[in-house]
Amino acid sequence: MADRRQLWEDLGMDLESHDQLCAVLPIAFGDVFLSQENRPEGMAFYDMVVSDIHGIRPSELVEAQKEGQKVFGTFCVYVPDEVVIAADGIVTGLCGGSQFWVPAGEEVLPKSMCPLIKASVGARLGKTCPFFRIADIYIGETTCDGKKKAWEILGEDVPMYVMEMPQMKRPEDIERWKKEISALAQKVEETTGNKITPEALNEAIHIINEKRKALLRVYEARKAKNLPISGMDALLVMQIAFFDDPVRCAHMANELADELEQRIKDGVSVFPEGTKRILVTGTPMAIPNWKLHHIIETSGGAVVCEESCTGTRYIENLVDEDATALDDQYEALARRYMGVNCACFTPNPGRIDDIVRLAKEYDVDGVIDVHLKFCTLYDTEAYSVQNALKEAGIPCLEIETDYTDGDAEQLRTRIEAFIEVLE
Amino acid sequence: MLFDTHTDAMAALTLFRQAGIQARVSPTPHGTNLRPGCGVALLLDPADMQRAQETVKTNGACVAGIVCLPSRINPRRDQFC
Repeated sequence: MADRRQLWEDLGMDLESHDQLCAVLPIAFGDVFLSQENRPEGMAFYDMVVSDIHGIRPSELVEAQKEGQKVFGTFCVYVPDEVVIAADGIVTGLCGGSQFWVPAGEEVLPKSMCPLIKASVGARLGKTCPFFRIADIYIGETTCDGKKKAWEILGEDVPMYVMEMPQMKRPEDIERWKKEISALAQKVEETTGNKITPEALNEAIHIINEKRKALLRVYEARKAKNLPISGMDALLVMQIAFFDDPVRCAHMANELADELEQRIKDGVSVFPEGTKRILVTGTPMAIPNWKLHHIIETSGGAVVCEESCTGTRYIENLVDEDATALDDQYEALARRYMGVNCACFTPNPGRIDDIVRLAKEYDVDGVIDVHLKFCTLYDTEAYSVQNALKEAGIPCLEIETDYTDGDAEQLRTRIEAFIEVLE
Repeated sequence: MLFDTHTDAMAALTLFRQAGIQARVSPTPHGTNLRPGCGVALLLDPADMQRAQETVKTNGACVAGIVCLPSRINPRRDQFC
């Protein structure tokens, strides 16, 4: 790419290695997305974003930086975007979803660490992702041991701020998270040079709520008997939501939802009648991790919902917009974010309840509980998930995988067998 | 069909849709001799190419180049990024 190369060079990227990543994208994208039939027209926007994923949005961010805005890189759905936006900052998700970045991560991290963390560290240290180069500061959190140690290593290379995540959900824990949000606000003010006012925070809360509502409309459409959109496409929408401008994200998701709702009225489905409906639960699928969804949807299944950080955890529940003082707004934010049910909490019955509820709401035939290799939290919680699903009479398949292609055939065999036996 | 900007690509897509020509947004394939300014390309059926070119010409759309490539899409390849 002619002018993109200048952008990447200016960001100090390793262009030779980056070219190798760019060479793989068109093939994988073609196999996963362009092989689908009858996709919604609204997906063209998302296809465009992915097609030039290291060009379009990075260029916008660099231009914004020239105008004085600061870019905050985040790795978790507990970090409140609202606080950054209230100070005229920009949030970009930084989780790595490609095996390409893993070897560079393994140069400084143990191999026995989850691929998401290894890829995230590798993307920064390997200098092969513009988003990791652009961010002025990274906001980490203590949601797992691997991340905590990774922040220390990343902190040697880039400004790093870490929020301490409570591990329980007692009232005092919600109060602690409120204090963490307030402390983050101070850091954001210091970084941007802008004061966070109640008015600005209220506007930011509204912006992110509107984004959630728009994405939830896309999810609602997936409850229809005739599925107007594939799980692959819905996942792509969610993955892009993490780094797109939030107002544009809401606008494009609403346009897509309009089309999906019309498709439901017209009885348009992207899957043949009788395709088994699958809920995927577990660890997040950061872009460009399309592996499991693609295998499921080319093995006789349709993914109708994701109970994950790249799914319902990101968009369910809104922040109360009625508060007018900063202290009350921080509390409203703490209450909403502490309502997210991640396996990092103990006990964590909320997630189990969510899975069973979503399985019913989306009328699923089966659940696939997936966790990335070496993610002890989700691996261990699989025990409770499976017991609850068994009690509810919902078939469940547990899968452990990573970003490599090596287990694809084995996964396909297991998933095809699972789908075959679903009633 | 290759483009220098993503806005050119999306403008051409709109024109093709209006003309009833099937086109899909795709990353620009690697290995072409042309080096367009952006990573967004449109995939068209060769049978539609003449009509597409006429549409581009009639509407003054900006296109960086056209390359003819065999389809490499294989959903069972199971090779990911």
